[in-house]
Amino acid sequence: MFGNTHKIENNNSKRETVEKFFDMIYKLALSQTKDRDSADDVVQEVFLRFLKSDKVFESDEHIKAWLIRVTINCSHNVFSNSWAQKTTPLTEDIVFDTEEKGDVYYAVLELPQKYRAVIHLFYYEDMSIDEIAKTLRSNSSTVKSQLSRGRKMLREKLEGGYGLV
Amino acid sequence: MFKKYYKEANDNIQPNRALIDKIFEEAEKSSVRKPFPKVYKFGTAVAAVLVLAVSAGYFIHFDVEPSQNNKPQLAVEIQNPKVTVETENKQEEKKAGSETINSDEAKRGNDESKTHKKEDVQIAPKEQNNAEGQTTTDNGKTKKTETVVIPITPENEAPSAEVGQEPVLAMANEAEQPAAFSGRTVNEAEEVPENGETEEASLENLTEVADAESSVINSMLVSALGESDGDSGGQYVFEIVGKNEDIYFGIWKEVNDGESSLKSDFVVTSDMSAMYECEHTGNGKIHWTTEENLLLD
Repeated sequence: MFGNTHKIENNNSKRETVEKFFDMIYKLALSQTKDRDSADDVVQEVFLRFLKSDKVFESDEHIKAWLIRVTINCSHNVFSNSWAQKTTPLTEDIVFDTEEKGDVYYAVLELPQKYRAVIHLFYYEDMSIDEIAKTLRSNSSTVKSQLSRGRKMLREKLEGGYGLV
Repeated sequence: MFKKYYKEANDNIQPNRALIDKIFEEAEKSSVRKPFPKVYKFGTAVAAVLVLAVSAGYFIHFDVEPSQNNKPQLAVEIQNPKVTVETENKQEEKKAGSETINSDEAKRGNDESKTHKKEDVQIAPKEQNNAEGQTTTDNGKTKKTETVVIPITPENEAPSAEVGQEPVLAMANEAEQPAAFSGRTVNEAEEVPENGETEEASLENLTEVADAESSVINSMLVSALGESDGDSGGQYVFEIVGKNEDIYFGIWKEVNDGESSLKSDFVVTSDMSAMYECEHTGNGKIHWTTEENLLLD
């Protein structure tokens, strides 16, 4: 009796969590896979792992970090499964209301995957370099370097860089 | 401006939230599935032990240095991933006490000796019998001995058996450490000077790498970079997916509790002198910078 009640509460709590982070994870997955279908697959895989996991999370920030890391790994696995025949699709079915948004978004998608992840987390999720490093289990200096290189590439792609510093 | 446009562009993207219900349905289905029967678990465990035993035997043989070849052992291993197993010699004698086994001796009746020396391996008689495949009768007499010889010199050809194990990996990963989100500082995204050259390669004309060859490279990279991650304890696996003229392309995985996650893609030179992380750029190409040679750390 008590066990069932606890399970239902737990499921409700997990549903709230999934709904809370769903958009964030989807956008991160799309930026990584560059393809809506693949992003759907990744999102599904990530949240299935979350639902099946017995891991005890200390906070929402802990959950967020876990989800981001698993999303990036799952996205990586999508690539690795077809390693030898890799021809990455570039999603072009997203319509933006201004040309600038489209330019900026697609310029980011053209970056190598590891730069895309860092750029997305830094500019969209407003995460600091240290936060990104901890989330990705990387060094701050590595993240800093990747961010720097990503921006350099973006400046070259976006003539003028849209004020990219 | 960049940040503003990028944020607005992402805000413009509407995910398919119906996927949430599908996720919960899938989770429900998978939780109803019958547990894996114990007998299969046992069978899987036995199979895993056998695979490990065969792998171990294979690499023990490769630890022996080539006797008639001046090439470095690592290069020889790469060039000779296939293993020939010969059963030819019958040894009649059995000596009491410990003794030295020298598989290169003339007992084999083959002076050309394409084999390698197993130098000064001290084992007890009973163990020796087992090692050499002897069968021993109840009164202790040796009836038959078969010697397994594994030549790995470049001259050898016509392999009759291949021994090489490709790790079977599940796909999964999880982050275990909580991240402390403390807000960002203004000057933390400074420019970092670049070192090293950027190189690019096409994946279109990769040739396949034999399992045995891949396995040998994996063992060499494990010995160079360690067996596991110091923080997570995950076992490293280096899976070679192809090669071109002088570069192997691979996937560096980390296996934790039977689940693997991708650590990075990598390239490694065929002489095993340099290894770099690489990135897929799309359009069937990868690129990497020669800034950080992982084999020099």
